[in-house]
Amino acid sequence: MRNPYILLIGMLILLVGCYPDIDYTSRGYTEKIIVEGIIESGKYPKIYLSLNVPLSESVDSTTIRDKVIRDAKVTVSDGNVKEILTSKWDVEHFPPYVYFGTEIKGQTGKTYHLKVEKGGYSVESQTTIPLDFQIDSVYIEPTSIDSLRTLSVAIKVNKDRKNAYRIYTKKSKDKRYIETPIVFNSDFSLDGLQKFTLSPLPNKNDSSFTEGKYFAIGDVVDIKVMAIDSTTTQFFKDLTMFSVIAGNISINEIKPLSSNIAEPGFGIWYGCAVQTKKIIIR
Amino acid sequence: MRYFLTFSMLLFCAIGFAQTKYQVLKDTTDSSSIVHKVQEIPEIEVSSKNPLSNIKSSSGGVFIDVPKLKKLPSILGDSDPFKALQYMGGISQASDASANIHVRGGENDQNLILLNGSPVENPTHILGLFSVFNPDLIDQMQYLKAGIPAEYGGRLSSVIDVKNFINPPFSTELSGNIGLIASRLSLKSHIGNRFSYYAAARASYIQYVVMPLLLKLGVDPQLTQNSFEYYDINAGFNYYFGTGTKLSAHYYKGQDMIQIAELSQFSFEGNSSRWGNHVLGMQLSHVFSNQFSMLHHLNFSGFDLNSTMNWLANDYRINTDKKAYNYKADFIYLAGNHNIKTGLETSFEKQLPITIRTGSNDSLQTNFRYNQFVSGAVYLRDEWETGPLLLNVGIRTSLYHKLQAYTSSDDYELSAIDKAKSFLGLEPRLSARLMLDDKSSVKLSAGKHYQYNNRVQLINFGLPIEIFVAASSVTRPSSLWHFSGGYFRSLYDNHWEISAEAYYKSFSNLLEYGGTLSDLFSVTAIEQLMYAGKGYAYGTELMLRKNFGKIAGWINYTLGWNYRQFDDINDGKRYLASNDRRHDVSAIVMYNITPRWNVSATFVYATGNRLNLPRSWYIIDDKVVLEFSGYNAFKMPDYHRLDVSLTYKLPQWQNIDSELNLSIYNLYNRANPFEVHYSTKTEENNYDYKIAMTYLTPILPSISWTFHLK
Repeated sequence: MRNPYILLIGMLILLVGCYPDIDYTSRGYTEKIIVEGIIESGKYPKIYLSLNVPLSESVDSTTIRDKVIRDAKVTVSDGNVKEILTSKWDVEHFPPYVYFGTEIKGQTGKTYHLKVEKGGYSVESQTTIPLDFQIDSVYIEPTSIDSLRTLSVAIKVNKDRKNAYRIYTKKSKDKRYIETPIVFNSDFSLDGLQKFTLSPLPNKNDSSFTEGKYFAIGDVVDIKVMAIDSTTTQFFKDLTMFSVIAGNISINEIKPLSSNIAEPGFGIWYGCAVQTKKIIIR
Repeated sequence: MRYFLTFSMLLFCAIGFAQTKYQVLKDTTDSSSIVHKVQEIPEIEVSSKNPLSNIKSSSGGVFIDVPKLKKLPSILGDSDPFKALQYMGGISQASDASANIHVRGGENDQNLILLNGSPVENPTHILGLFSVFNPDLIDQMQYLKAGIPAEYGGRLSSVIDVKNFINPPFSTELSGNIGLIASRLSLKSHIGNRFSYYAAARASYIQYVVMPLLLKLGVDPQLTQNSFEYYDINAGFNYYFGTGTKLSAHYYKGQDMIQIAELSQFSFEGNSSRWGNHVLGMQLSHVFSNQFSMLHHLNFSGFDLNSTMNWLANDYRINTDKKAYNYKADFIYLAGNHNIKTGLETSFEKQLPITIRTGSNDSLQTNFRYNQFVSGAVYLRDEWETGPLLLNVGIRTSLYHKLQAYTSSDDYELSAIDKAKSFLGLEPRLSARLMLDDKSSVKLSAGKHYQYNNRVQLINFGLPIEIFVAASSVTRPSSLWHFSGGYFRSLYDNHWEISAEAYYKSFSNLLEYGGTLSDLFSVTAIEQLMYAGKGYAYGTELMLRKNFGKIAGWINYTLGWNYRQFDDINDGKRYLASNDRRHDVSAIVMYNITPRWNVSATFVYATGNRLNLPRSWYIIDDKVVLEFSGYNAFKMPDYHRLDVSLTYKLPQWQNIDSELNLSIYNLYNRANPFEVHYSTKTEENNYDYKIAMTYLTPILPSISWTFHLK
């Protein structure tokens, strides 16, 4: 070669400024039916269906609406009665499309079977609504700020049932129930009367955002406690952990989220025994 | 003209030194101090390193030609033979700006790194840019990746044995280097004809010189908020009693300080970490006769880390701590063609697996107890040469006894995991070399290895935030069967050398941390959060090297596969290890343009690391959830980098030899990923996720002046 340096310089020019990026397209994306189904004691089942979205597509309302499943056949049965659910848009929820029942109402201790059929695929699951329980008492306690209180509930826990609890509160000015982001008794170690402090985590858009986890004197608060079984507990424990750590950086994450929906589906179909209580903060 | 000299016995006479007999044994410090001394004479290259040594040796390792490696591109002004190891076959850096090294698919904690016989826990400074070994002091390095003889144990994958100050100075020598990033100074001298000593120090000053410079050059201000600094000091002495007895001691202390302003735009910021090694050792050697000698080591090595990071608006304070006290005795007996070595070692080690504190007044903290254990080993090996065959046969018996865990907390109840537990391991070792003719050989080796304490990575980027895990009733000792074979040949009057090696490794009881960060607060025995599994690694290494001439260098290529299989990971299915490297290339070229001008370049290319990353997303329970493909299914972008160095040897002034060096690290400014992170965000009707790669080391030019005063 007349001048070997020309080749070297040429190679360097090609390589300069070479910034690699993540190749999303070759990641082996497979379509999954994402199921979020709930049947509460005393209420009709509600199922939200969507498809997972490849990472190459952005997170926005259009993408979410495009991935909503609106043409599935959804069947719920309690062993005796089988009901095909009807559907409608539900703008209060994401994904904003719900399949709902009008015949089968949830009963504590009873098992419910779910079947979703879509485009030649079918996914199935079943869940049992835990046995009934009671909110024993509610505690209102002072804080360092005169006008604010903390709130606790006491629940009688039966260790043998292997139930955990999700707890929500709704202040009079809020439009929605806000969850205290911890699945209570998620390791099923507690037994007997157990007191649990409520720490709701409102968003910026919630009216009670400035109060944070406290409750203002004079406020009317709805407390909602949901008992869930061990399978559901594991799912929401994983999900809570996932969102708390934001699935983030460098802590080794080995466990995938658990699911009780078989492939090609993913998600949760769960029953819950619900108890509510309304109190005035004093 | 070139001469190769080999010796079996030396009578060592030098001005200022007593006449001393030295037995030339491959394994003794005394012998190698002579054998590996290199003297350069114009037109005649006299080197103790036999160019056929890699072809004739029995093990799958090499003695590193330290003077030659010092001519490699100095990285940021510091020519570092230890760092140059990463250009050897089978050894690879974990990622950009990472202190971790992996040998033939092994884990980072499986390398036994020794400084004058004392174990060193963390061998690098500033995320792997520099080694902890002061290049002015290194006299000898040995790198063993296969056929590891029975005298070495406790780690599965490799031995990197660094020896400082085994060549005593003939006069007082002052050496140093002044660079943009760091400087160093070392003194070697002697008092009388029996006592010689050294002292050396290094320190960096990046935030005072480099960062202001980068700011002026318009570099992203966020990058300049990061700070990386280190220092280390070395001191030691040799004393010759004059009757074949030598006493030596060495001391090392090093510290790294790093501050990272922000790593993830979503939630991780304000990392401030300090960590360092502490080593103190003494050696006593005695030559009884031409046939028999002994060497005693008494060592202390420690490592501690203190790190603070802010994560999701919470401060986390992380500590790890480890202290080890070690005694080792080696006895060497020469009988005809037999070189027999036997010995024993024992150590006591105390380690705090990890402590994490968070919350106001540290209201939430982990409650792990100290692990304490004693370990020991006895070994016997015979290196026997008969005709073209060289056999190295050995057996090592290792013993490990975990003592009952120690805790300062009165209300802590010991569990079954904390109770005392013992293990015994038999480690047969065999390596053989058969000379096919006077220029080529084949080598085979097989060996079993045990490792009783591990460092398990908690945070998978460059910081050494790792958990110490000792073997217990639930975390069994890790073990390895390693088989290796190769063909070695020299060509063209030993100017060139080629080799092809293949290896297969089968690991048992490897450990992975199986919990999340919050799980650390909910258990008292870290072992409860560990997953154990198997591993397999196999591959081929090809090497072409030019040993002499104006242009010298080598190119290594490794084709490898590295798998792991854990019952609790990836549904029990086999998956690629995070350090799986399908292709790994390293090339070095050194060109002596004139006696004063020297230019060199290194190039590395490696297939990207494996890691977990999502492939799709969905919303459930009002949260953005990322869906992952199989474990370690994602491959990072490939790593490649070119470094160049230009050195000018200045004319001697007074008694000062010095040279100026200009080096450019990452010449074409390749953005090699430092870490990949992902995060999600959910607010009312506002969902988002983020996946981003972080790059730390752009193109880094550097200039330095190295001097040597005799």
